[in-house]
Amino acid sequence: MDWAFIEEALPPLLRGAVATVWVSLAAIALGFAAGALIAAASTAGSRGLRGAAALYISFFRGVPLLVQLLLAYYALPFAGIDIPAIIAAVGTLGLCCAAYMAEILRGGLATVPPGAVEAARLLGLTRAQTFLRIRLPIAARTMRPAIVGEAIMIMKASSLISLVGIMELTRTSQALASSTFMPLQSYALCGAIYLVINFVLMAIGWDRKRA
Amino acid sequence: MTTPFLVAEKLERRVGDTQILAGIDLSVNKGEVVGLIGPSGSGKSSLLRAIAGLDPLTGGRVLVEGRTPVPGDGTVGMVFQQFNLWPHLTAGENVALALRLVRKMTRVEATERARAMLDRVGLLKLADRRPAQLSGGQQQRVAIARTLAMEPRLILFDEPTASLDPELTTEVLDVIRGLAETGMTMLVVSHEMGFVASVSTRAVFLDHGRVLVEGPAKAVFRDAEEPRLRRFLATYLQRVAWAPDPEPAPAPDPGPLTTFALLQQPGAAEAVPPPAGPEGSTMSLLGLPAASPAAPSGFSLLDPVPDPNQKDPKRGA
Repeated sequence: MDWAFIEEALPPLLRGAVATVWVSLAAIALGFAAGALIAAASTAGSRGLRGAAALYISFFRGVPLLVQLLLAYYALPFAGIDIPAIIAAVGTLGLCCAAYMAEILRGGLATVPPGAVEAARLLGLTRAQTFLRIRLPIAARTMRPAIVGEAIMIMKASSLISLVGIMELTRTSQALASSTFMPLQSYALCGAIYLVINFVLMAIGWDRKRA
Repeated sequence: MTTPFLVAEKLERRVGDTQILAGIDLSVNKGEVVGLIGPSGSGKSSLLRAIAGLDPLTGGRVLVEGRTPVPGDGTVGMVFQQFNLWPHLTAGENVALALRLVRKMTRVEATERARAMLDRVGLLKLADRRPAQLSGGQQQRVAIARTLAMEPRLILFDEPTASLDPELTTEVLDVIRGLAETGMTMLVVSHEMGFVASVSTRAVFLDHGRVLVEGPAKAVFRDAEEPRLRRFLATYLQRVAWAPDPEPAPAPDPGPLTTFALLQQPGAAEAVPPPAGPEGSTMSLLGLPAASPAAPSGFSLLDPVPDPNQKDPKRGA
């Protein structure tokens, strides 16, 4: 791999990488928020809510993400829903992430001592305040490694949306491979960029106290 | 104040086949300190939780100042055996959080008030420590400060020292005693019999979810006739087994037959009264001089309790 190739390939790949990062961050944020709601539903008193949450989680964890993306890509227009491919892709990625986040959150919230919640209740905190200020931060300590792991999975899984025409990092490297006839170098560079992005995520998830 | 401050009427709580509270009636006047004693599983903690509204009742009702308290309405504060501090916040933040979120104070106001509260329990210097960096006694004092900051009109103490060693217990009991002196209405569940006896205006003995004995603390601890209560107090006193063996001494008039006289080693009581207490007081049983020579027979448990670990006369300060 010579410097001339890198000089030529890097700018488009970095643009693709920026798209990958944005798409993934949006999906992770959506996944976390939706996952919190699903986790709440799965621990709710209502059987209907618990059943719906269980159904959701088993569908999104049980069907391959690529199949989910293709379904969204072909089924939504068929159903008369006309949204840009990028929204459909981010949405699908996020909803899939939500299923995993819900399980992580459910497990994490279960480790919060009930007494901490009772104290909050007696002092007058609302349920929402208790969730955001007490339960979530306490659970976050135990959940952090799992959440970072899930974020890394999504960052890598976002490569699948190249198949529904989004110009992100993988798609860019494919285009580069065919235009330069240097597939090995293109994909090597692409892989290296994913690695760098995920190193950053891992650094965020690094717990200094545990090391 | 014609109606009592707190009224509990026929409180019942049943979980499955287990009757946890079996029709408890209790009324407490403003400024009273009521000590709840009884064996494990007798319903002491359940009673407090029911009064706080933490556990649903299957019968009866609780009225504080004529209204049923709702958790979080600011009427009832509670201090738990396990402290229940929030581990991700510092001591100061633990106290300030509800002030900001519930009392809508600004961050500055809340922090200032939290510091004042921590000062009151002697922990101002540790405001920036997290619970994990505090001793159990310090954590419990932070929990008390957190409760006090919201200015509850009734404070429930649920075995506040049960997970503390004797030294740490003292610092927490001192804070609670100080509160009692300010006229705060309190219900105290504790196995620290000496403390309950000295701090309470009234004592309630629970067994199997019922009130078995209720009355002025003196009467409950000194003149207990109810057999179950006598057995309970006897077991407790046997734990104080480090009391020195009574030395043979001329037997004075054994005085009226009190529970505590009875509670001494069987056989030893009538023949060998413990040395210091003229009439076989508990203090002597604890290996300490009777608090006051004038104390009536067996009554010393009701006097301010000298801490066994600290015998210096400044302790009252």
